[in-house]
Amino acid sequence: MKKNPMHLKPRNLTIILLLAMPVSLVLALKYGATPIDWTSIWLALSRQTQGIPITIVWELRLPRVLTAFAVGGLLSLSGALLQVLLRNPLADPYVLGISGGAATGALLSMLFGISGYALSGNAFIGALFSMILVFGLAHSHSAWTPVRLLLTGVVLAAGWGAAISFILAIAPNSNLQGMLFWLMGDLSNADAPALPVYTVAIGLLLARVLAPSLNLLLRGELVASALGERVKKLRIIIFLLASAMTAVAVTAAGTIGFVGLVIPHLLRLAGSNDHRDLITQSMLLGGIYLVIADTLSRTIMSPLQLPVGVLTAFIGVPLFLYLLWKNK
Amino acid sequence: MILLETCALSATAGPGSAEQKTLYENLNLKVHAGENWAVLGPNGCGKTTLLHTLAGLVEPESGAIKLCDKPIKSWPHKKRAQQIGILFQQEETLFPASVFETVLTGRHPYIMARGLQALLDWEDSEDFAIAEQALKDVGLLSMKNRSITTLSGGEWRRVMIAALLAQKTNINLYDEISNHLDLNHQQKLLKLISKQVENKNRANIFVLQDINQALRYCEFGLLLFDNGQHIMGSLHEIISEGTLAELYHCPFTVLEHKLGNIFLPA
Repeated sequence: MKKNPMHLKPRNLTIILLLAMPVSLVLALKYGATPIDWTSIWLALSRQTQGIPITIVWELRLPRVLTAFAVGGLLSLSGALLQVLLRNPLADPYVLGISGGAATGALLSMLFGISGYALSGNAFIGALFSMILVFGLAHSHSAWTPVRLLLTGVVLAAGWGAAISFILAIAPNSNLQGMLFWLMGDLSNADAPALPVYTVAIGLLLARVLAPSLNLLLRGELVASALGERVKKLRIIIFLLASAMTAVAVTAAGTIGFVGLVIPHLLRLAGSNDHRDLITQSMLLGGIYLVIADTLSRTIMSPLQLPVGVLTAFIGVPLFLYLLWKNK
Repeated sequence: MILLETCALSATAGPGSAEQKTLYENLNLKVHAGENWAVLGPNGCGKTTLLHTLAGLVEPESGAIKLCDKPIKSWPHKKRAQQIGILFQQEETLFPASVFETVLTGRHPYIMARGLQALLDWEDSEDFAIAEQALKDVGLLSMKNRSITTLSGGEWRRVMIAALLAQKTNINLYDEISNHLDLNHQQKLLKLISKQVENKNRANIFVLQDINQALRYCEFGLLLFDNGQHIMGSLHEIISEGTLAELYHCPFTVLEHKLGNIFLPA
């Protein structure tokens, strides 16, 4: 085999990502509409100062940066899980219609003037409802094939898409901006990082425990059960885990596309095939990626803020196509 | 010693539908240590269903299966996977992985049995040595680091076989092992695998399409007819032009050769 020069030893890649994580977080704290110099960041983080820097760092940027990291990790982890579950490289949280349900819930809330926690709650309910629908409809006569699941999800996603278009069409103009931002991913109201951060920590742990089984499931259900896995149970756990992580992510930050699809594949292209590497790396790279995209969305057209989903796609599409082309 | 035993096993194709048909019924198979079995029969006669049922992957419609004197259902899955392994008829490669990584998946039942240690330690040097030996056995050691998505059909088949060999199971079920293999590798691998059980507490069951391969490497045979009947016993005794004609619905002729009789569809 022509050894790909881009291939890194998976363990080295994990170390690089572990080092890149704090760097990305600190850079995201520094840059924004109001740049802060390094000394002030240090003083603010160690609470040795008072005034504007401490407000910006602790109250504005840190919650947002942590949310971005957690949401990126959640989306990327659920993408990696769903790709195994459906044995399909195209699977991601959006394909299954989970985010479509969440978006419909959120947009309906906006239409009726509901905001804050109630809006988040409705988004979460939308995601759960969608999840149960896919789960229930695809699961018939104990046959729960990846193709059936994928098909159910895709059709459901299309239905949600129509519902979203309908809401946008009838919504008053004053609501449209907020709705579009939510649909493209919006971290500007991210002030409660606790739930996504805890969820990503638990999700990472569970997914990492499942990792050896995920490797087998990629070879197929029959192979996995011949090698001692309880495939049915395993698939239900994967689906629930991925759905819950997506629901939390979408609730916190709107529907951010592309992260769940692209991050696991970027890592596969870099040579991480084993899920014992891939899971941890997906979480780290997904988090870093969204933190960087969010920082750019706040700064490149400042004071105008761009929806973060625009950035994830603007960076991700050329990068992914380039890597794919280089690896052919 | 009986390694694998079925008691009144039955299966039907398309149960409940208009085309419902008995695949086999009242099958009482006893596979002893040291035996190589061939399962022969026309397309759709239930060979693969039988193999999946024997491997414990499918619940028998009726009847029971015992693995080493214990009902196969009572075996914990990981322990079962250390006893009985199966080569499937085909397997798709959809995601990239190296040849070596794929063969190492055969060690899964043992690694997971190590519990928490599996999370920290992954495969140990013994697993690596076993996987390397398996790759050597199928003649692919030099392709260890190749991506499975770049392999030819025959090479991929040999990777699947190596993964099963790395599983180190006492009872191995091979569903059309010769698929995609060139004649040299068909012969080499069948010879190697059929010899692995000699005088050991091991046994193989091969689903084969080639009667002459069956006669060359297996002493015992199970013929599944498409009317739901079956015959089993010493392969040389049950195979004749007459039974084969009935089995495959086409006339057979026999050529005598110093290696033994060769059966050909006439």
